[in-house]
Amino acid sequence: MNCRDYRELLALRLYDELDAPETDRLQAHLEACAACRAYAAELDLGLGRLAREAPDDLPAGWAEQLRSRVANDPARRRSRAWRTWIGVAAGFVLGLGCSSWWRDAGEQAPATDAPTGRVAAVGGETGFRRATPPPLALSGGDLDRLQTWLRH
Amino acid sequence: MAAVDQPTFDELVERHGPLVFRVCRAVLRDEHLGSDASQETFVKLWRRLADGADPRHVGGWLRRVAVSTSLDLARRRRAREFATTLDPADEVGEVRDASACGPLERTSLAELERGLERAVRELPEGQRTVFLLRHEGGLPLCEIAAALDVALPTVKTQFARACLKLQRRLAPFDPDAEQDPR
Repeated sequence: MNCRDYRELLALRLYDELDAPETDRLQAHLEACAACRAYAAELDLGLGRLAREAPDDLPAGWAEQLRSRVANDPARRRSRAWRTWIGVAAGFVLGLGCSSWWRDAGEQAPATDAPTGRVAAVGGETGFRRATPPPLALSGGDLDRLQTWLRH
Repeated sequence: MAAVDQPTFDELVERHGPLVFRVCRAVLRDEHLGSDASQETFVKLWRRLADGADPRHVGGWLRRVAVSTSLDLARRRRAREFATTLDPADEVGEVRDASACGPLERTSLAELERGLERAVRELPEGQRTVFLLRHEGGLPLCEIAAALDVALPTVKTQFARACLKLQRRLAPFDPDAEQDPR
C-alpha cells in the first residue's frame, strides 16, 4: 500500500467505515508518515467538519402529508372495499340463517297455547302450528359493532 | 390484507423517517422530491405490514426501498446523472484545483458546504451516488452496497476516492508534503 491508499483509509475513517485490521494498518502508517499525518489534519478540517455535521430534521408537515397519503392509498381503499363486501355478504348469510332457524323452531314447537281458541293448524293433522317468524332485526349494540368493524 | 396497527406504524415513521428522508433527498438532490420519495417509501411499508410483515424487521428493508424508490423517481424524471452504474476501474481523475478557499481553519462551515455542493457535481456518477448516500443520506456503506447490488469493496473504493477528490477541491493539499509510496 502507498500513501494514496492510506489516505483512502483516512477518508473511510472519517465516516467510521474502517474495520479493525484496516484501522491497525492505518495507525501504524500514520506513526511512520509525517505527510499522511498532515493530510489527516487537513482532511479533518475540511471534509471531516462536514461529515460531523448534525443531520437535518424532517420538513414541516411531512408526517401529516404521509398520514394523508396512507389514508388515501388505493391499495388500502381496495382492502376496505373488499372487507365491506365481505361484511355485507356475511350479514346476508347470517340473516338467512336466522330466518331459517326461526322458521324451524316454530315448526317444531308444540302448540300449547291457544289464546283465542282459534289455532291455525298447519300441516294437517300434525297438531303443530307455525309460529309467526319475527322480523329480522339487529339490536342497537349489534349495529354499533358492525359499523365499527366495517370502519376498520 | 391484515389491519395495520396504527401506533406501530407511527412509531416506525418516527424512528426511521428522518433517515429515510435524508437518503431520498441525498439521491434526488431536492427537498420536495426527497419528501415525496420518502413518503412513498412509507406507503410501501404500510402495504408490506398489511401483508403481514413483522414490524420489528423492517429497518434494512426501508432503507433499501428508500434508495430504489428515489432512484426510480430520479429515472422517471430523466435525471440521468443519478444512474447507479458503478465502474470499479474508475480511476481517481484529476479534479481542477479549487478556487482556493483559503486556510481551512478560517473557512466557515457554510463556505465549505457551498464548495462541497459544487465539487459533488463534478464527481463521476457512481462516486457521486455513493458519496451522497453516505454523507447526506447517512447510510452505512454495507447498506449502500446491498441497496445498489454492488460489492462492498467496490463501494468502499468509490466512496474513498470521492472523498479524496472532494477534499482536494475544498483545499488542495500541499504537494511538497507528498511522500513517495511506501
